[in-house]
Amino acid sequence: MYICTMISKDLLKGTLKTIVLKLLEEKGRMYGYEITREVERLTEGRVQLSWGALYPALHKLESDRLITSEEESIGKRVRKYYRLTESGTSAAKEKVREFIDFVTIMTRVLDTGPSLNLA
Amino acid sequence: MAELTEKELAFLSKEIDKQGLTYTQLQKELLDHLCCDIEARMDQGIEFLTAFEEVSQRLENERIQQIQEETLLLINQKYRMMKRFMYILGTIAPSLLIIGAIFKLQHWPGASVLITAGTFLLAVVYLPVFAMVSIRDTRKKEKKVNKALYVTGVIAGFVFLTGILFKIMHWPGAGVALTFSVLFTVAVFVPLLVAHAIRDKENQLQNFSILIFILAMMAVNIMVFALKVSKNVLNSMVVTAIDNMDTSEMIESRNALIFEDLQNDTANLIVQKTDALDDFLQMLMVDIVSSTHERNLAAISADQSIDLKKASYFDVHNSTELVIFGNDLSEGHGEELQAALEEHRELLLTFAGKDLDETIDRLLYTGDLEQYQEAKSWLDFHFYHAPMISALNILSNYQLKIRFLEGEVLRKIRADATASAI
Repeated sequence: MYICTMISKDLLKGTLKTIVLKLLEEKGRMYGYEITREVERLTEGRVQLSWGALYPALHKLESDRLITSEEESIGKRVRKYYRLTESGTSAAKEKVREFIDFVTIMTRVLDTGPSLNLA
Repeated sequence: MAELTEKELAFLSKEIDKQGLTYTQLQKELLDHLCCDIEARMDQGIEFLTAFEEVSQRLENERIQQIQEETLLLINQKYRMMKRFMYILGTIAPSLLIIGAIFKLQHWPGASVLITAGTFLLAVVYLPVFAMVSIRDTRKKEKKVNKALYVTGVIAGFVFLTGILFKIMHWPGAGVALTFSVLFTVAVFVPLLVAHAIRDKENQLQNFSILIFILAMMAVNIMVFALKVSKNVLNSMVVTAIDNMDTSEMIESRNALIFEDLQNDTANLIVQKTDALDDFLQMLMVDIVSSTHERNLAAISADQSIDLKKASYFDVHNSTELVIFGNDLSEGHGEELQAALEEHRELLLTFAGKDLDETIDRLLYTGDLEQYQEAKSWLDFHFYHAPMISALNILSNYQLKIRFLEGEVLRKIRADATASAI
């Protein structure tokens, strides 16, 4: 279900929540379509989130109370915006740090030469 | 920025509806997502329909139902609802049972409805929901689910509860259900549970408690069988049987006085036949008491009278069945008894005046009787599964009745004789 052309879905699977949390931290509030577009833009189209990847993750984060949602009417339809909760904000920081640590360690383990351009 | 018309929106909404989503939160979001996708394409000058065709690829590729399932599974909504449902039921069902039990104790109307509803909720709804929640809990801990254990547990519990319900309501089939549940629990469920408890080191205390609880419940189950008649009821039945015997003896001696005066053929016949039937009834009673247990032989004296104070095992019903209905080895005396009573009734009716006919018919009735809205033969009604003491009660009561009728008929004959003498 994790459609992506360049990056394998197994790699993406564990990090999708981190990506969502990080994006929400930066942007304040976002809706589903906006998140997929933003991810596409940031990765230059190399990561395309499928519905099957994004929405279950969003709902899981919401049920874990890391994000909350608010509905807004856009013409005749409803748009659901997500934003971080207090615990979501700290979780976002925590997850990003954890992931950077992981990448650093993996880089060292796999010895892939020059460090990745993160931050 | 392009904006979809109402018509177009309705069209897309229909497309999403076609996917058969039940979780509206997700449905609304996917619709918005789809609209955004199309609007973005329309901004680049693509026609609505063309844009839709491009995007609708997504509807086909993504298995929408599966997304919903995955979402619900992740957010545990179904599971949470089930758990809440389980807690609510877990409070309601026993409350209904307790209130029903109080109603039954007080003989208030509605007890059966409450007890039936409570048991039904426990057996049909609570048990399966509990199993589902419990399975889910185990899966969540990423442990293997012992499916066989749950299936057998639900079956054993279901049959046990229905058996208890049937027993309380006096519906047929309770014995079969309870016996099956005991056998099934012992032979299948308990071994599985023990095996599970040994393997599952984490929840050993919990599993052990469940095991103890089930074994205790089974002991209660077996006791329900053993405890056929309560002690108080037994005592009062013994008192009645003794009274019957004493009273019929008293009437017999009074009848003897009347007979002495009369000394005619008719009176002679009545007394002879009554004595014979009385002896036959006494023989049946002696048989029943002595075949209950050999210790009861002490209660029977040489002249075949029975001293119930020396007897025991009053609630055993095998002896009644043996003497009345017989078994493979010996024939029962039930039909003989019924025939004898009918014959005696005919005899009395020939000599009694019209005034007595109704009394005789009523006291010596041997036709079908109604029990739990079902017609039962006279024999089954009185003796089927009857404990020893209740058979004694019935038989001694017949002794009393025939002695009473003997007296009535003798008096009638005496009155007739006096009248004709004048």
